[in-house]
Amino acid sequence: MFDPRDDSPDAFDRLLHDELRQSVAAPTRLTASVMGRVGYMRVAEGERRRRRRRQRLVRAGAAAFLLAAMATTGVLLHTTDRVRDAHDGFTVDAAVTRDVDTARQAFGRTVSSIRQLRSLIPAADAEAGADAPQGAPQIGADGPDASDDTAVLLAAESAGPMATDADAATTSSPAATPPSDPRTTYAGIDGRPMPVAGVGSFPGTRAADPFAPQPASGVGPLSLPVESAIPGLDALIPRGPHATWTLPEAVDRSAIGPVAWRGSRSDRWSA
Amino acid sequence: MTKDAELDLIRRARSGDGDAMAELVAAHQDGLYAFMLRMSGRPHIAEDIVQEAFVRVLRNIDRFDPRFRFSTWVFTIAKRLYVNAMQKHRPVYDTETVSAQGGRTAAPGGKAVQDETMRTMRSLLDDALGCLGEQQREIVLLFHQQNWPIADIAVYLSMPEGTVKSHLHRARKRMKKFIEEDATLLARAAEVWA
Repeated sequence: MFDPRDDSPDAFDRLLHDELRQSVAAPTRLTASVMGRVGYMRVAEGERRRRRRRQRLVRAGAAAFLLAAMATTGVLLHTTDRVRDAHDGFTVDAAVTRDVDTARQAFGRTVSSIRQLRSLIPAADAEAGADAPQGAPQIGADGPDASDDTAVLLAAESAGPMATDADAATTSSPAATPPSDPRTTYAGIDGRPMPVAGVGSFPGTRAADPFAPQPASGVGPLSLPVESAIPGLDALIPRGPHATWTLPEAVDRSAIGPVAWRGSRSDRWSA
Repeated sequence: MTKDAELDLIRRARSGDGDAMAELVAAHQDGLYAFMLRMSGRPHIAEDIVQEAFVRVLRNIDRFDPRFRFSTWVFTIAKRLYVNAMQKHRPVYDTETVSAQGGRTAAPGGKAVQDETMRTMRSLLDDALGCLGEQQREIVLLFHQQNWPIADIAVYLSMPEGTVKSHLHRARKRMKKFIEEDATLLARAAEVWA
C-alpha cells in the first residue's frame, strides 16, 4: 500500500491507479433520460406493436388524404383549364368554316388590291388625253362578263360609282346608311363603309374584322357585291341564322391563293 | 468493448437503432460520469453534463469520424459542456460527496476497518486532486481513472506527448507534496498505514 513517506513514485502511482479505478456508477436513470430526450422510450412488446400499428395507420391515412387532395386539385384544374376548353367543340365544321372565312378575307384583300391598282388608271388616262371608257372593258346588255372578275370590277368603276348593283346607290355615298342586306358588313375604307358580301352572314364571324384590308388613301368605295362578280359564289353563301358553309369542289381554291387557306387567326374560334 | 463491436453499434445507431444507442450510452456513461464527478466535484452537475453530452452525441452520431476513438469524441463534447457549466457554477470540490459517490466495489469482506481505511484513502486522494489545476487534474484522471494511453491524451488535449508526461509527473509530485505538507492529512495517512 501507499506510504506517503515513501519516495518511490511507484507506490503513489499504484495508489492513484487503485483508488481512481474504483468504478463509479452513473445514476441508473441516466440511460433512460438520454434515450427519452432523443425520442426513444423503452416499452413493452405489446405496447410497441400497438404503437407501430397505430403509426402505420396514421401514415396510411395521411398518404390517402394527400392522394385525395392531389386528385381533387387535378380534377379542379382540369375542369377549369382554358387550354382544354379551347379544344372543346372545335369540330371539322368549325375548322372548315374558319378556313372559308379566312379565304373570304383573303379574297377581300385581293379586291382591295385591285381597287388600289384601279385608282392609278384615271391619272394615266388623263395624261394620255384619252377617254376613260375606251380603255375600260365593254359591258354587254347582260351585264359584265362573268368570266373575268377583274374586268367586271374595272367596268363597274368606270361606269360610275356603284352602278352595277341596286344596293350600290345607297352605299356609294359617304353618308351612307348601313346596308339592309344581312350579308353585308363594314370593313371601312377612309372612314367610308365598304360592303363586303358574305361577312357576318354565318355564325361565328365578327363584324369588326381585324384582318380586313386597309387600302391606301383616296380609294373609292366598292359597291359591287363580290358574290355577283364570281359565278357560283352566291350559291355558296349560306342564308339564315343557322346556315353553315360548304365548300364544293367547284370552287377553285388555287384562285384564292395559298395564303388564304393557311389562316392567321389564333384566337379561340367557336362555330 | 472492442473497437469493431463499437463501430458496429455506431453503425446501427446511425440507422436509428434505439437498442444500439442505449448500448453505446451504457458502455460509456460510467466512465464519463466518474470523470465528470472528479472534475466538477458535484454529482448533479456531473449528471447533467453527461446526459447532455450523450444527447448531443446521439443527435450528431452521423458526424463521428471512425478514425478516432468514440470515447475521445464523447469526452471532447462533455468537456466543452463542463467548461460552460463551470462558467456558470464556481467549482466547489466537495470531497465528501465525491467520496460518498465513489466505490461501487466496496472493500471485500465488508469489514468495518477496511471500509474506514478505504474511505480515508479516498478522502486523502480527493483532497490531493483538489489542489491540482484543471489541466493537471484532467490528465491524472484520464491516465489513472480512464486508463487512457499517453498518446490518446495528447490527441485529446492537442498537446505533445512529452508535455502530457511532464504534466502527469508534476501533478503526481504536487499531490504527494500536498499530502506530506498537510499535518492532518499526513496523520490520517499514517493512521491508515500504521
